[in-house]
Formats: sequence, structure tokens, C-alpha cells
Amino acid sequence: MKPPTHPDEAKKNLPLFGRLFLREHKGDLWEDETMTLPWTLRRMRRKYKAFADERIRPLELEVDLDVSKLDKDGLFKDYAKLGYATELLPWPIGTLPLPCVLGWYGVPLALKIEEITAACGGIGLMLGAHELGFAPLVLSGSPSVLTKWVIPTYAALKRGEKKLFAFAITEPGAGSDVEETEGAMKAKVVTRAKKVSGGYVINGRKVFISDGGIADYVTLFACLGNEGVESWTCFLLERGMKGFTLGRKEKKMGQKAGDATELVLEDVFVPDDHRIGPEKSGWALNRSVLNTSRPGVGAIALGISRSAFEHCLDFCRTTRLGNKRLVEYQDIQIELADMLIKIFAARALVWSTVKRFIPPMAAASAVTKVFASDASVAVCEKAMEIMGDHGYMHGRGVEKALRDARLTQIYEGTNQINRLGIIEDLWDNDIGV
Amino acid sequence: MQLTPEEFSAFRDMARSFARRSVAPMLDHESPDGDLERTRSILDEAMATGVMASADPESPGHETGAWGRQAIENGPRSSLMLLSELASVCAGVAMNVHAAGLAALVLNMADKAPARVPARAAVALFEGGYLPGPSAIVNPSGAAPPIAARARGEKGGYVLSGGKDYVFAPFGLEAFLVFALEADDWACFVVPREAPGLEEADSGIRMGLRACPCLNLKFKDLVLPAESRLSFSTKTAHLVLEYMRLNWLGMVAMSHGMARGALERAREYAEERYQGCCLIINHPAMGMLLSDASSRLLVLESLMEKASLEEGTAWRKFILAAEAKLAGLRAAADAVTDSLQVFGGYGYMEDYRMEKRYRDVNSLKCAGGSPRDLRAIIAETIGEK
Repeated sequence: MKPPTHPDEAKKNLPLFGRLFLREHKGDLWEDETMTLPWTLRRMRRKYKAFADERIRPLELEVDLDVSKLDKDGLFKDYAKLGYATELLPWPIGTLPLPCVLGWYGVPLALKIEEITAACGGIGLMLGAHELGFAPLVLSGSPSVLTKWVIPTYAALKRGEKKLFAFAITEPGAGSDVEETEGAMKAKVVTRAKKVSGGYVINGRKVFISDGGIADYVTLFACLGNEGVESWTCFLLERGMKGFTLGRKEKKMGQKAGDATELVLEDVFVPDDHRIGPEKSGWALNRSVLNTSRPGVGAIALGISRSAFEHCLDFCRTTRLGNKRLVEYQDIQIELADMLIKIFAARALVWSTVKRFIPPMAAASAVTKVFASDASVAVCEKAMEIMGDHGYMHGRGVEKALRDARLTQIYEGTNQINRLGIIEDLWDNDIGV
Repeated sequence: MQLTPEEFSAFRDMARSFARRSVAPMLDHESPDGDLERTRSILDEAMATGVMASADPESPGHETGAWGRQAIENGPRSSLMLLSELASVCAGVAMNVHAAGLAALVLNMADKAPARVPARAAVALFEGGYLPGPSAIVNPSGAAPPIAARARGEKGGYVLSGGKDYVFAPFGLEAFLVFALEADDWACFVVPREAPGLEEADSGIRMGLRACPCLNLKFKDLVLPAESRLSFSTKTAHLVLEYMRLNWLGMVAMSHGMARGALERAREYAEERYQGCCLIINHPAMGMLLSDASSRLLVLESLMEKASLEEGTAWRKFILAAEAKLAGLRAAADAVTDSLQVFGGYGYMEDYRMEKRYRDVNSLKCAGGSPRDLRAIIAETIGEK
């Protein structure tokens, strides 16, 4: 028997139309939020979740301890066969449903990344880094790149072939520098391309490259000759090219299923048709990619926070302290609510940033990345704290979530660099005027 | 007798030298937590040099080691300094020394030493990963959830049942000091590690503090002789409160060491690493991170000082220690994460051991009294004189 103040009972006192205005929460929160999306996206979100639940979640903890337990090639091929690796472009080239082009272009990517990283942050990075690596091809806007690379690669991916891409900008002496305009002008960039007959010869090194060790193709940025970063040009490198080798494999604190490897380039000949866009278009292309990818990092962070929340909630529901479940204690409820507030806010921000007719501006992308990553770390820390000694145990899942979340405050530009990027982007018209 | 400032300074130099000479080399290893196989020999050395306490009167650390006999007479200051110095290099090693020292302290506080004094022991108090609140400690029979570890008198001895969780147990452990309920009040028993009926299991893979084993214990009708029960001049409940207080203070000291170590490494890195045309220490963004971390270090030092020098009642000291752990571990975790951020991507990799500090400090924040437990304890006593 529900009390008279329960919304179900109380609403009976309202007239019919008044009842319609009183929004009730039916079903679970995930489904409730899914229902706020258009029909096509609802369907996609449910499919992403089903894939993540079936193929990724069962591997979450095992793969964190031993990444060799993950069949990366097999998982990626299945992912690609389902059309998930080709959603940067709409049908008929890619697999993005046509209705998404009408103002929902970036939403499927955000939905997909959230679902996958809610199951495992590391596997989310491994699959998401492919989109990052492929993005320069699409964003270059070059018809020749479209016909030469995008269309055949997407066709192969849809058949389930492994054509995994990685994105390479970071260098040993130029990490965050190359993610910000002022820093980039002074950055010590060592990867250089020299024009030769029929192509370019590239020398240098790139570090911390996500999927660098497993990628079949790398979109790599290099300075021309002795020029600075303003001459950056994007090249497509294929695995096995002479002189292109792998350096050290990084040992990371978290997101362990996601590879991070150094790329070594020693007199690598890259043919002209492997140049992505015109010469010196690399810096603008890099900005464009980062504007698109930073909300994706926000989605990664969002997924990881959800993972921590779900693990913690499960613990609070199933653990009894005294004569009641942990979840029934008021202080625990306040902590859980704080976590939910951050998750709600991060999701609202991610969806709002990607739900546009035009790509997000740099400031909006950076705001999303910084807010969602800081929120994610805060949620994971709270989850650990609630669980006390259980919180730092690997088997409970939340310590992994914290380790995974911490990286989102660093990659795609540290949160400090992103904050400066926000001001830089708004300087001319909003801040410095 | 209190140490003079000169003696204290010399003692700190000795601890610092030990940490750098004997502990630091274990981290020159490819494993994320260093060469854990070496921990035992490091602890043996710590014992031989007087850094690690033991209840054995013949042991060099009996008096001077962390939580050695001098801590009973002079208070916790030098023990906290020792733990901080060790944790500035490796918090896991410090946790071993801390756990062994607290067990030695409990043994040293007993009216009569057991027939066979364990050279290295660990206190087993917590159950289910949650702390009993102050009222549950003072009136343990009414604790909710009830204390599961119980002893019943039988045939001139005791039979122990129940279990204990998350017992940080130093390498080379010989016995556990188990706090259990006997006739509705606390009692403390020396349980040899090889005692029939004692089942111990590793608590599982942990985020941090991996150099110190962490065990879950089960007592399957474990039979103990009468003399295994320790007696104290004070009420055993008060000893439990004192143990918890010193445990928290030691953790605050270790977190201080971790934060200090992280800040020192970050400062060194910032003074070496160029970004663009200048050293990153000259970038205001780095200055913000380093100064925030430095300020938090001061907060930690103030908390340690206040909590360790408090002259008030035992109750007041207990609450101060809870408050110090609640605020101090937060400050330490923030200082470590800010220091890690200075390294950018390198901070997240194992190379500079910053990620280890991050894992360790976040583990310590939840260990032996999570922020939730501590808030509940503080809230329970707010308003009480």
C-alpha cells in the first residue's frame, strides 16, 4: 500500500492534464534516459549496450590483470562487422544511420563509447582509438583521400576485416605542447618529413600512441624539412613499411587493454598518395580531430564513472551493516546521489556538445573533456571510499575504474592544457576583448 | 625521556638514509611495485638497524623502532617521523613496519609478556572491512553489526571462533594479536601462526600497498592456552581505542611521506623537463599544481603535529586522530595526484613510480577506516565533552 504522498497516489488528485505534466520515473534510469533520445538512437544505444554486456563486461577484470587474455583482433573484427567501426560517415559509405546526420552526427559515437567503457575502460580505449586514428581521413575533407582510402577501408571493415587505425601526434619532447597553439609554436618536434621524388622520407619518434602496437595504419603528423609545427602534414603509414618499427610498449597504471606504444621512424618512405590533405594542413587537421575527439574522451570518462557507480551500488545493495543494507543508510544515499549528480551532469554535457549540426568548437570540446574526466575521478574515488577496505580490492571493480579514469585527465591534452585551450578559443570574441 | 631536537634530527637522518640505502633499490625493478621478494630482507635490516620495532627486548628496535617502547613513554612523534621517511620511498614497506610496530606496542603494553614473545606480529581487529564505532568499542556486546570473533573459556583455556579481515601482516610474521569478545568484553589473544584451527588467506589482488601482505583470517574452533590471553592495566576497550588512534596517526604519517616523496619527484622533474622553450617549472600551470601540493603537505604536517601533541583526554585524542585521517588522507591524495599531473603522460606510466604512489595513497585512504567510517565515528562523538 503506497502512502498518500507517494506520487502514484498523490497524482490522482490532479485533473487529467495535470497528471500528464507530472513526470514519473518508470523502469530503470538507463532505459529512462534512452527514451529521451530519438528512435534511431534509442535502438543504437540498446545495441551498443548488448554488445558491451555480452562481449566486453565478462572480460573486464581478467584483461586488466593479463591483457594477453584479450583476443584484440577477434574482438575488433566482430565490432567492425557489426558496423561499429565505420560510423564516422553515413550510409552508403559508412554505417551511421542517415537520420543521425540531421543534428545527431556525433551522438552515436558518444553513446557507443559510454557503453563500452562502462564495461571496460581499457577495451573502450582500444576500440575508440581506431575512430581517433581514422578521423583525419574523414576530417581532411579531401576527395582523393575519400576515394583512395576511406571508401575501400570502410568496405573492408564492414566485411569484418581488421583495418585498425591509430593517431600519432605525441613525441618524447612534445606532449601537451602539440595540443595547444602557443606551446606548439615552441615545441621541440623531432618527427620530420623530407620531400623526395614520389613521396616523403620520414624520420622521428612518436610516443604513447594508443593502439600503436596493434594498428594496421597510423595517421601520423610530421613537420616538413626544417620548418616548425606550422608545417605539420598528416601522413598515412602502413604497418610493415620499411623503417617503420615499434619501440617500447608503455606500462600504464590503467586502461591496460588499450595498447600504448612508441613508434620509431627511420628513413620511412611514404608515397605521395599517403599524404592526408595538402602539405601544411596538419595543424588545422589536428585541431579538427581534437575538437571531435575530446568529447569522446568525455564519453570514456562518463562510461568509467558509470562502471564505478554500478559496482559500488551493487556492493551497497548486497552488503548488510547491522540490521539493514548499506544502501538504506542516509549518508550512503547522499554519497550515491552526489555520484549520480556528476554522472547526470557529465552525460548532459557530452550529449549537448555532440548534438549539433556542426562539429563542436574547441572550447566546448575541452569543457566536456575536462568536466567529465574530473567528475569521473571524483565518482570513482567516492565509490572506493564508500566501500572502505573492499574498495581497493581488484575483484570489486572500483579501483580499476579509478585507475582507468585517471588517464582521462591526461590524454588528449592534460586538463591544464585543455583549460588553457578553452580560454584560447574564446579569447578573441569573449575573454580578451 | 623526550628526544632533544638534535637527537630527533639525527634519528630522522638515520631513517632517511635507511630508506634511500635499503628501501629505494627494491624499486629498481621492472615490476610496478618493485622487487617484492626483497621486502622480507629489507624488514630484517630495518629490525637490525632499529627502525622496526619488536616486542623482543633483545631486538635493536625494541625501544627506538616505529611504535617501539619509547612511543609509550614519549608519544608518537618519532614513530610518525620514521613512517613518513619510509613511505616517502615505499608506502608498502612502511606499512609492514607500521603493522609490526603496533603489534609490538600492544605486546609492550601488556602486564606480562607471553611465554614466547613473537618477534614480529600483527594486530587483527577489523571484521568485514568496517570499523566498530566508539560506542561499539566501549560496549562491544551491543555492537551492530555484532563482533563475530569470540572466545569462550573451555578446559582451562579458550576456544576462538569467527574471523578477521584485511589484516596487514608484515613479512616474517610469527603471530597475530586477535581482539575478540570474551564474556561480552574485549580480550586480546596471541595466536601463533601455526596454531591448528587458524586459516589465513590472502585478501586478494589490491590496488596498492602491495609490499605488505593483507590477510583474511578464520578461526575454526581454535584452541588457545590460558596464557595466550594478554592482560593490561587499562581496560582492553581503551587499548582498542588507542590502537585505532595510533593506526590512524601512522597512516597519516605514511600519507605525508607519500605526498612529500611525490612532490619532491615532481619538483625535480619540473626542473629538468623542457616544454616549448623553457623548463616546465616556469609554467604557471605547473606552479599551480606544485604549490597546491606543497600547501597540502603543510596541512598534513599541521594535522600530524596537532594530533600527536594533543594533551587532552584519551577520547579527545581518539577523535583528533580520526579527524586527522579523514582530512589528512584527502590532502595527501590530492597532493599526490597534483604531483602526478606535473609529469603528464609519464606520470601515468610506471617509470617514475608516481602511479605507484597514486595507487598506494588511494588504498591507504580506504584502509583501516574509510572516510565514511571516520565521519560516522566523528559524528557519533560531536557534542560530547
